[in-house]
Amino acid sequence: MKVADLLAQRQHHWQELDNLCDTVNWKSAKKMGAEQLSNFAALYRSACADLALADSYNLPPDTVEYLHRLVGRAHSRLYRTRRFQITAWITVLTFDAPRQILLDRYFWFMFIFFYGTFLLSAFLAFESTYFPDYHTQIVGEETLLSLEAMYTDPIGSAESGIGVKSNMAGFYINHNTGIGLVCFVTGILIIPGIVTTLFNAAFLGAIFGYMARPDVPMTDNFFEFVTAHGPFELTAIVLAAAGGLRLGLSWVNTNGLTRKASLQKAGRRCIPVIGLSILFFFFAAIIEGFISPSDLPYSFKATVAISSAVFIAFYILVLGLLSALGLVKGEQYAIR
Amino acid sequence: MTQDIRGIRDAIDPIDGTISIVTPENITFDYHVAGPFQRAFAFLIDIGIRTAILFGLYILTLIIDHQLGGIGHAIFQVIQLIVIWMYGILFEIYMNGQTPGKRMLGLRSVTVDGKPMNAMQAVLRNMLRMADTFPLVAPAAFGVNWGNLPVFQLSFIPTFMVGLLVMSLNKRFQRLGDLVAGTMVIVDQKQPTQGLHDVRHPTVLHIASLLPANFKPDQGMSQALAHFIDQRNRLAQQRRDEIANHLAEPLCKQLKLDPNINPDLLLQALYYRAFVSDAQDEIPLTSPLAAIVPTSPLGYAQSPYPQNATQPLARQAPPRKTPPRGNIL
Repeated sequence: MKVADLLAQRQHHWQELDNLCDTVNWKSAKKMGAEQLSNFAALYRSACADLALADSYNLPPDTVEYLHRLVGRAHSRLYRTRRFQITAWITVLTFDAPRQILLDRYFWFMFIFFYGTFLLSAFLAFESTYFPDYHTQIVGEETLLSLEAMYTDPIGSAESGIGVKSNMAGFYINHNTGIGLVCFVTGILIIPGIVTTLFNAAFLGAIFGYMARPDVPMTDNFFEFVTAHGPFELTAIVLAAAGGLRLGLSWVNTNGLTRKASLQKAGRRCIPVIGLSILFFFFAAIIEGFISPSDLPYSFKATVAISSAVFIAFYILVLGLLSALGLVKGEQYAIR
Repeated sequence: MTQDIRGIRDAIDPIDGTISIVTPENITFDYHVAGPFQRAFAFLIDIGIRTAILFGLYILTLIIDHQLGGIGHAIFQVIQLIVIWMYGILFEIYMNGQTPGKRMLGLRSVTVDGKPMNAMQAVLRNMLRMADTFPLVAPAAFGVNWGNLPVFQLSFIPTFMVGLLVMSLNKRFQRLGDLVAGTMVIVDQKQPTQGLHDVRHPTVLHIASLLPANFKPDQGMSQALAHFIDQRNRLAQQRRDEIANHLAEPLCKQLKLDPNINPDLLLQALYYRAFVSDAQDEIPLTSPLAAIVPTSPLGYAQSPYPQNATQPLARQAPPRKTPPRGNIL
């Protein structure tokens, strides 16, 4: 058979498939109807067959190119992205993630590194006799002044209005989540990751230490604001930094894999840590947006802080230990 | 392009930027890999859309804020967080690997073996975009001072140097996020051209009838002819003759044709013989040929040379320069 006859026979099928590809892009499968769907599949298979036989049909090159594009388009519409599998994610978050975090040396390294720096920095900023200028060197004069201005009025007081406070809170939500994400993504480049984490720990620690000084007047306001969301936020930063460190070291120490394969393996491994970090940031954001700037009593905010700290400890230590010892087990899902 | 069993490392064509995919239907087809600058435009469109969404939400917040007395801002900030970080993730999951920008430009992210991504990969590649934006440069580095508000103090300009560097180091143009997630971005566009070119000029048909009945261009020659006919519309007549002569001259000798036949016309006749019809009848205008002519808007249906319909069959006495003789065949 000549190419011309073949084309005369096949071309309207290809055209139809091409048009269906446009439709499929915008319509969901349910709206398309069974007839159109099975038609799509049949047309796709026949286009595949035509492409496979292109050489023996002796099709001209631009028709072959057209068929490549057509089959590619149909292929990427027929095989579709999987949706979030909620059950799988819940299982992973309740059983797998705590175990992985408990056994994750990167997490513990970052935990000690971050909180160690934080506490040391807080002490240096707090100790006013030996290190009187530490806090200004780390935080900077201007930032310190704007912080002091921010916490001069009592939280949730009538003058400043909840609007202004929650506006500020909103800004810091974005800012702090940003810090966590920066710790994660710079971690892939190792040195910037370590430096970012170190700097943020020192920075936050210096602010905390300075604000805790007995001679600083806005101590109460400051702690009233930061207490409630502190545990979730700081832990989220540690988790994010640990995920970043894992990614970064994976392409240095590959354990015999190629660098790319090692990086991809680490990418899969750090998913639970990152997922949890996002979740914690989200909790922190909600608390920071609605509880921290409100005029609820300090005792309530402290309760929130303590219970979230207990929750985190229970989650990582108790659930993680139980899961590591094999005492609780979720259904085995392949996480996708 | 050989398909090796372990992976698709060998399936990449470094010249054309295509990558071979084996489908479950057990056929192989090629995807074009999208380059950094196609992707940059899609990203800019996405940024625009995201900003528009946030702006709309902010206006809404200002209206609601008036009623709720302050709480609206906190809600807005949480929503802003979700919009900024979930935009790419959710669109790529629910629009099958495309964000609105990618759809407009006909791009799609898929796994390196051409399969659809899963939610996990969408999360990874979108979260890690930030690593690709490094190094961040403070506007002050360019001497720009926007003001002392903390918003301006803390804003940085993404340079995307890490992303560009990583993309240029691998053949699939994967940025760092793509490498970790095992994804790549491919071109998913329609190609308008297909079908054969109309060469049914009476002279061409006449030459076709002069060709020996048992002569059939083999596959290699047919492909060469198709390439020539594809390109000839873009060439001047002298250039067409020059190119065609490389094939026409030895063929004329082999088939014992009149050596004065215009080489361009001879190649068209061969094309006609190879792809359209074996018919020996001189002017088969009632053949099913009409059906094969695509009616694409790009003018492929038109006769390749309507203007010189009275072109002479044989070369006239040489008023033009003889083409250079290259012995390629």
